[in-house]
Amino acid sequence: MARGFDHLFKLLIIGDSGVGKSSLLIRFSDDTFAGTYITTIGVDFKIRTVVIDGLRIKLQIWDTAGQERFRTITSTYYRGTHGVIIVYDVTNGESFANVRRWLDEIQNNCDVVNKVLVGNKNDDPDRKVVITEDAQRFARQMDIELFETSAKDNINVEEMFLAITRQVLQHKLRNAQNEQQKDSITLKKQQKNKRKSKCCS
Amino acid sequence: MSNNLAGIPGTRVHVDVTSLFDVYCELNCPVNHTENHTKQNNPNVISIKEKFPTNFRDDKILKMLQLFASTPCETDDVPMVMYSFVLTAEDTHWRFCFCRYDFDSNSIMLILTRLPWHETFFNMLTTLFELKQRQSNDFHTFLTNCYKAAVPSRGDITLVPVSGSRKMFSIEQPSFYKLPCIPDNHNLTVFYNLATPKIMLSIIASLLQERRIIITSHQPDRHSACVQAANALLYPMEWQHTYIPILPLQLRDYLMGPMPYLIGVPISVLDTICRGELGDAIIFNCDVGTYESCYNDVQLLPHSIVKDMQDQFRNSKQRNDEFISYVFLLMMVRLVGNYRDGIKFESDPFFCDNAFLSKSPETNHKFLHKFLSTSMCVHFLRTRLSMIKHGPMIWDRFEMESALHTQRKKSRCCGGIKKKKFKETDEIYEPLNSFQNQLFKSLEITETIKSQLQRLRKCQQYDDAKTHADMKELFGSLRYTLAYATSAYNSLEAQNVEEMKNLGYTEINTSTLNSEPIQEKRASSRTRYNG
Repeated sequence: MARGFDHLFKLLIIGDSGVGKSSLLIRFSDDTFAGTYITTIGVDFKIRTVVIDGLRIKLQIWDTAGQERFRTITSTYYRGTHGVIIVYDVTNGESFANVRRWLDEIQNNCDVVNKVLVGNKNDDPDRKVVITEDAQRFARQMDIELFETSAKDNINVEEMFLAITRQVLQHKLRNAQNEQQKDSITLKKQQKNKRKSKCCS
Repeated sequence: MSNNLAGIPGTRVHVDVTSLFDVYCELNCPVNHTENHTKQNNPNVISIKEKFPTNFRDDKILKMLQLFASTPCETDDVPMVMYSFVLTAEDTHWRFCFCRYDFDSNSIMLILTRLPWHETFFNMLTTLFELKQRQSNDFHTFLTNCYKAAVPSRGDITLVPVSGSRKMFSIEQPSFYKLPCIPDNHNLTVFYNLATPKIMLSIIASLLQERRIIITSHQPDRHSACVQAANALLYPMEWQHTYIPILPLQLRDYLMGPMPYLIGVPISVLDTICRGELGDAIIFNCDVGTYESCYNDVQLLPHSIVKDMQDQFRNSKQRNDEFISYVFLLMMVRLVGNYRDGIKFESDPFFCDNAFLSKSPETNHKFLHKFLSTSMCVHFLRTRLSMIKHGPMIWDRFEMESALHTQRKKSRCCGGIKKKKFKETDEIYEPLNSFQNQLFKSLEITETIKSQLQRLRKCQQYDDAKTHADMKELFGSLRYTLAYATSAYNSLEAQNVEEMKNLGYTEINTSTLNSEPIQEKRASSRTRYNG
């Protein structure tokens, strides 16, 4: 039986409880009868298939309970994923502060992770405390794309999910290309001289 | 008892639990279960026949109980199955559900509770079942009495009269000092019977790397017990990620999660999933004892520790009692028992990786460097640090074994260089082990005395005849406990003081024999390590 997709990407959504992770997922998901298991088994996921550059990509987005219990997100948590969506609440300064800590942590671990920063609940200017300029400056500094979204009013949600998907896809294609190139380079090297190749860290 | 972390604040097991259980249910299984399961439609294939308290209205939880408890209905030809599963709340705290499936009536009795007291609740279910068979009101009286009974404080026992008989049902809070024993501990006994020590070590090594681990079998009790026993063997750590001892068919897609997990799943459910979709997940089939993994996590552990464990497993004939738990605890002690070396004090105490590593054996560095950044280690350090900072410091078995280990290392050095008194390590261990056993006993006894005195004080406020009888009984048991404590104290002093001195044990010796041992110990442990 043919698969209904060309690529399967598994993403993690992280952020304090109350920043609207579940709402973002429900907005994004194919499944409108979104029952949630997060309150009973501590984990939940949503699926959707999107098409990018003619490729059908199946996305699984995973959410686990109690992330704020860990002031740091350890690398074992995201080592099996293709990308991470990091969410804060623009009306809650503390949730933004936690995001900074998590990003630092991800940055410090050597693994390359595709990631996107999301300021959710961006629908009421009066309640907004994390201003766009600050978040933008921080995002540039951390080399991460920023999206301000509203799951409630469905603003920018689609764009954000497509952006991270595209990032993961490009990363994957680039890696595949590199692998090919690396193979041919080592082949050439071996043919020229048998010098031991240096390890790059 | 099952969980040595139960009662330590900050862990995933609830503290300050006020009632013994949240809800009791009896569920009717569908007549033709296999058919319903292949259809995998709604989870309501089994219906609730009875629930207590009747005003329990958390429909989400009730639905989950129906969904999770239905799993054993797949297995035929079993007259009775006892099993448990775990639910995780959004705050990551666990709730435990104990079930008893009866083939004749094709129904399941279950108890949902915040207390991981497997043996107590399995016994309670057996008693409830026996009472139910009698068709009298005794069943409801006993159930109500259990529900209203006080959760015993540490070292204390709550007695619930079993209606219609002279028997008393006793409920005891697990000790901080006693490790899971074979055969008393249900989960560990099942795990030990199904997994060789080699596989046990492989699973624990993979858990320490926070991998994705699946344990599967035909019988839900098997994989559920193995999952819970494996977690208990991580003590003083606990699994911080997704934890599902029984995964029902409807939730099989959760096996595709990319994050670390520890999941128990029936083979019938696992078979519906293509292996390719499971990625690098490790699979232990506990029916046939096969272990599939693309990692060699045992090799990542410090070689000397693994070798010693293998020797212990090979050489020791004694497999029952605490042996298995103790070997694994000793591994953790050798890895992180000196965690206090990493605690530094500025305005607040904090953990410094480098300070800790500099005091750890070099052979451990490679492993520890990675291990320090796992969720379980981060969380372990946080809870210990918080106890040191805010108190009360719980002097649990891990802390005691760590202290003993440090002492042993010291004495080994002295023995080797200066005294040469103990040539064989056994000679060093032997007096220490007997000392240690005495120590645990007297600690448990002091806790019992403390709680019984508290109970006595409360009792004095009442003056009806019933309470007087209670008091008489209490005084009786107190006298017995005191006599026991005194004899333990005397034999400890007589037998061991001399050896203890030889081993440089005077410090611990004096602090444990004080009249208010718990407080003293906390204080002394703090000064000794933090200074």
